[in-house]
Amino acid sequence: MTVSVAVHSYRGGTGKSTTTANLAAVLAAMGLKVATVDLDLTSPGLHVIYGVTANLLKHTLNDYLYGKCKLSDTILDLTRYLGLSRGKLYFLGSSMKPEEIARLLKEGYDENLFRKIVEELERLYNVDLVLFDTHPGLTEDTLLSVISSDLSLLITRMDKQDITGTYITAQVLKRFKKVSYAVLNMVPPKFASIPELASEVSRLVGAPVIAVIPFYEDVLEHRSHGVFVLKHPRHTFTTQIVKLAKRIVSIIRG
Amino acid sequence: MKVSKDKQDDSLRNRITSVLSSMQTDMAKVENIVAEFEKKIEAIMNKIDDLERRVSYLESLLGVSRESDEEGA
Repeated sequence: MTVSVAVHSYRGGTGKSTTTANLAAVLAAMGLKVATVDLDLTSPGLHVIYGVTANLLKHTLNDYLYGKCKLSDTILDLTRYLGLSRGKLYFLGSSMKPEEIARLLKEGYDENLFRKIVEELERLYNVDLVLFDTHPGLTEDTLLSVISSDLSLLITRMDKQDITGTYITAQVLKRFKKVSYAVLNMVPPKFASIPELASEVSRLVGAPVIAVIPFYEDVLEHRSHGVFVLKHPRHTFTTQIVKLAKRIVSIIRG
Repeated sequence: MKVSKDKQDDSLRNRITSVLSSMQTDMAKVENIVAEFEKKIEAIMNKIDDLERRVSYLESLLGVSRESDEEGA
């Protein structure tokens, strides 16, 4: 059965897309069939990390939403493109054209979109895991994608606004009886090794912290030049993402 | 792909709006979380400072320093 995971945050700039792209690559390298969906429909960016150009991305989710193509036409197999020798990595992208984003904002979309995406990926490719890279915040549209997913990863930084926002988001998700986990990202390195950090933040935000990922300048510098873990398999950031991937697999199979 | 108004009445969209509107978030509790977070961070900072002081003390006793080690490496 295909499991859907929303990679979400209360505020922007927390590293959702970077985490999604790298996590998906690691999960695929572990032999899983993974799909990543850019649901940051108003400011998509996942395609940049994957190096997917307009030539490659012939059909977007926007095209599907407005009846210009089938949902299956929007699915791009990036496995070989990214040089992965195991597993599968699929990508569904959104349009960057302002006129199409404006139309989406004005007209909205079918709330069953997320369920349909998961069903189609399961039917066509027997995908194990779908990662939704969401738009930040608590707007109705973004909550639709988060609540429609089986579980959520709430990406949070170590600042007051993020901690507060993650707490509020976790409270909202509890109302919908949704399972959510927190990922502490871009943690100042000297904090990252403190053993009790994860448990303290788990208690504060009301969601278990399943990964503490330090801030790495290397990752920041690399951001738009491919999937970091694939280019730097021995980097400590990669080690952290592998740990997170294993934790997610154990939760799903748990 | 748009859903008609009738069909939307019991939709997830409507449930989200309804749940969000009825949440009555206790802002005092939220503020407590922020205050507690700050306290925890301060405690961790103090712990790190204390550890660094201990390391410096041990280094002075042993006559070594991290800086000279790094330069040597």
